[in-house]
Amino acid sequence: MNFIAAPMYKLLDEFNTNPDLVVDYLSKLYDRIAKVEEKVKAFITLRPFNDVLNEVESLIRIRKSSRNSMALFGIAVAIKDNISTKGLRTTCASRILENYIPPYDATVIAKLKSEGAIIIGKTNMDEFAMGSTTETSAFFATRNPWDLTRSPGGSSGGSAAALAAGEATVALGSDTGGSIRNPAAFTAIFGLKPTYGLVSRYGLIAYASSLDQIGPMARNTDDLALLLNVIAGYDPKDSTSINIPLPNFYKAMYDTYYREPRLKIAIARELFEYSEDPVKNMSYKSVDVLCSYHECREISIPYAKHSVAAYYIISMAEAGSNLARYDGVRYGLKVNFDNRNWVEVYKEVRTRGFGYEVKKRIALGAYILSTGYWDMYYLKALRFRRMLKEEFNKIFKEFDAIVSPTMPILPPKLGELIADPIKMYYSDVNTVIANLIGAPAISIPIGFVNGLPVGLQVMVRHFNEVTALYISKFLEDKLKLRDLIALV
Amino acid sequence: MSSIPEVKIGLEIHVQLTSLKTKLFCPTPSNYRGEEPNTYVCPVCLGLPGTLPVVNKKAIEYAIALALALNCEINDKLVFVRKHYFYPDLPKNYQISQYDGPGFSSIARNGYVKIFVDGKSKIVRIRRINIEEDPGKIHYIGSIETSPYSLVDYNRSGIALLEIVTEPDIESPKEARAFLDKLIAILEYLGITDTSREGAFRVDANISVAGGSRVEIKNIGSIKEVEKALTYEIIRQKNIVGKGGEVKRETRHWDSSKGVTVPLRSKEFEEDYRYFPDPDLPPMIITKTFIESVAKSLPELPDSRIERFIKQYELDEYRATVLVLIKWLADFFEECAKLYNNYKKLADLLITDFLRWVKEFNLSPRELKVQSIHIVKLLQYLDKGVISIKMLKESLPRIVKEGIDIDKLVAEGYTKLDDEIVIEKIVREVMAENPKAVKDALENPKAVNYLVGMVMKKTRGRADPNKTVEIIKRLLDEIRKKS
Amino acid sequence: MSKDIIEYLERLALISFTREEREKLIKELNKIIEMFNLINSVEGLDKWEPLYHVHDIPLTLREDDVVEGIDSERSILKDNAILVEGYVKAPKTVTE
Repeated sequence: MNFIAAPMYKLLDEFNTNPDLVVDYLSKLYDRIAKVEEKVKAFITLRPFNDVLNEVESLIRIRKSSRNSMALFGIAVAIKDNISTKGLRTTCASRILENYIPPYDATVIAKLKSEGAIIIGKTNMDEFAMGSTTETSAFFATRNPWDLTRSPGGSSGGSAAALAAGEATVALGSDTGGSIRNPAAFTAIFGLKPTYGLVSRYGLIAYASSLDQIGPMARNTDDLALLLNVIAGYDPKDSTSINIPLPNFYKAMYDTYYREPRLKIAIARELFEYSEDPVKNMSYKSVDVLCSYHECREISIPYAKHSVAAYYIISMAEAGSNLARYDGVRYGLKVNFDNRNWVEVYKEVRTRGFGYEVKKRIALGAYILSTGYWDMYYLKALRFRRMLKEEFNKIFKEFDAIVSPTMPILPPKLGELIADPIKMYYSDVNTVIANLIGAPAISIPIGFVNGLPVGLQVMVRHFNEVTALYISKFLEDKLKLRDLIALV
Repeated sequence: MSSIPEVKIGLEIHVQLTSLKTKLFCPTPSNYRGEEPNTYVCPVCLGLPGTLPVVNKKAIEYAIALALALNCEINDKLVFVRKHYFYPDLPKNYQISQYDGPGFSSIARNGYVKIFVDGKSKIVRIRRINIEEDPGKIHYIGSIETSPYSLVDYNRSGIALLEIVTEPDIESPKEARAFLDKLIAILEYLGITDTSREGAFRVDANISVAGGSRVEIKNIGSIKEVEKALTYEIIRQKNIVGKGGEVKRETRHWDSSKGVTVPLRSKEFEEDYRYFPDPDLPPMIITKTFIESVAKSLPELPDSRIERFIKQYELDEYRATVLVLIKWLADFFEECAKLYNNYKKLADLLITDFLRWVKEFNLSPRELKVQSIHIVKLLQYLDKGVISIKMLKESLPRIVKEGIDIDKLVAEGYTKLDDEIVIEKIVREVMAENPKAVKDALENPKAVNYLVGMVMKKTRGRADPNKTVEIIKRLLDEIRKKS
Repeated sequence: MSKDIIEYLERLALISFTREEREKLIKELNKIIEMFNLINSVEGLDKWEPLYHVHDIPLTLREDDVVEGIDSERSILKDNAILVEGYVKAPKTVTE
């Protein structure tokens, strides 16, 4: 069995009958990492193989001695480095947290561990998830396994690249304005931003709290659904998580897939129009595949560009607040405190600890919330946010899904997008809407242009992840684009 | 025109909800006092990256209970906001609080408290009540100036606080005191805080005299200190205005050891708190049902108890107020009142000598040895004439301190001397020993008192004063007739 | 956006930009503010209530029960803070 490219659901079957196989699997995986990581640079912290092995051995003993099955037994998971892992360095790709060891596990990590998953390391990202290319990382840029001169997208670029390079079986990312879907599209994997409140944010180091969601990333729809099953659910530690009964996403996805209902799908005209031609053309091809069975109609998406403005106003305001806590006292970058005033010390810590993009967003966040500008930008953006949500509620009354290219561009060359921040901000135009309105959205690989991956985004109603997964499964079936691993 | 400038005082009080078992936003124990630093902490109250607040239900119930007790309007929506400022005691560098401004609101507004000063009732309006988290505590090595760095203890971080802000309705330090006495009584009746605990009750005062700007005095530790600080500050401000000077708008600090207010170093930077609703906490909808359930569980509060005391025990407002504002004393009064129905006499004894001795001996009201029956019997013996008022006062300290049964004292012979033969015998002795005083008394009726006093001294107050006077007068008459 | 505002924001947020960063920032900020201003071109926004939370869910409250224990070993802070006799070391609050 090819452990590297095997889908998780098959690995789980194998490990279920023979738990000892996990050791072989992990050693093959670490061989693969040793081979490609230097080129891809997906991980900020990779756990030593021996540590992982020790953990796995005791896990196998537990598995053998108990009847309890574990939903992710033995599966190697890569975790974005903004999700707290107890005892394992968590940096947010920032100098300010370079040596930070969380004393607690994020709720999603506790869930993964109790289901027998193996956390193999922490993946690179844009610093504090602020960026769309994984280049604002304070440590290094991650490369796109499909073209090492290009960015894997971001901010969950490390998790996406690790999957595309075959360095992990599944991964977790976080998505504030597209940070799961963007790198998923650029690396030919599947990535889902769940409904806001479906997955606990406890332990996710906040960028913009009202927009952030943790979500699964995988190389096929089944794995995505299985991973979602584990991480979704109400958490009393997160007051914004939603307490409603949830389906088994995997089972419900298959139920729908077998029934094969014809859906009403909206084609988001403007989001196609804003896209580069190769992306647009490739996306329309996949739309044709969808529309050969489902009922499609083109619609106009109101206020797409304004959404980008609203997104940045809100996210920067919240970011400035969330990042106030980094002062080097309780944790984080240390400077000399002796005989120095706190204003001077805090300024030094924060100036040395944060990169330019982060400082810029913190400064702008302070600006947006300061007296005089509050009404002009922040309050307006929030009014816009309500209007947008209502507009989309109307669309969702008629349609089951809204499709568009995930990204309006192909994976950019390293250094290209980051040099033009406005262009970078506008490249989020298709993804930010889902975060603003809190709806789930998925990115599905639909093809390659000159060897560069293109992804299609499907946005659905709140808590209708199953519909998104069904469409993903449908396309995966027709396009046969699954379990793809770049040669590197 | 009056030459005395009008005084306006507004108070801002921070009260810790010490009756809660856990902090406001995390399930960490809140009884941190006297504990090792930084051991009553968790990732949430240390503001670690990725942590989120979860609101303590009881804290909200307490806030609503106080809002009801202070006659406030309770908002139907509770919105937590972040107030941003950097400081080493603030783990997130923002405080989760509330903000009373357009679009937001405090948990409660527009209440009032009735106070009773110099025989008159008065209303002090409450502007708002906020619920918020306490920061940690900073310690220094030596003095704040010379300490090479700060040392922070986050045990206090996240403790639930209520902030109570009054309108500037208070016009004298005495009224400020009456207000605070009343507020503390209300808090005690509600059982939401023990204000005697260190740092559980903190007061800031805003004060202005006519013709001057508002001056804020920060962090005054106790009611007594508030009264002193305000008295000092009024004189200071009036002096400035009187000399034609200008009272600057500033923040001052009360130096209790020197008894003066001193200006706080003026900030070189004006903070902009950048309030915005905490995205980690959806608004809480405060339903009528929720408020009603809190209202139902409210105990009798000082105002209605004062009213009841006036009706049920026919006390005047002064006596009722003094009793009720000291909850344990009011409770004690009611216990006694079950067995003794001269309520006014009972109240007078309790609010004067009884209370004085409890304070004098520094007794804890919760651990008093004296029981209601002791006091009731004491009064009954007095009424029956078994003991004199002087004897009552004489025996009271021991009874208060040790809880001695007056029956025992009476059985041992501690009774008023009313046997005329015995008294006469003592009077004769006294007159024989004080011929000069007798001579005076014969000429000046007022000098009789001296002889009475001597008799009392000899009998340790037990002699019936009326009979003693009668006998002395009779014997003096006899001397006059003889001569 | 002027230098003064940037200096004010640096003080407000306790960060500072290098000279090169500041020059870059001024150029970028003008474009970013222009983008922000797009929001002001949307008509009829005032009739919408600001949306602070995407779901209209009421706040869930926690019972007043102790769950987190006492951290007598200071295990939460010991890897990340400088501890002096159990206190967290921090800069001075007052300097001359």
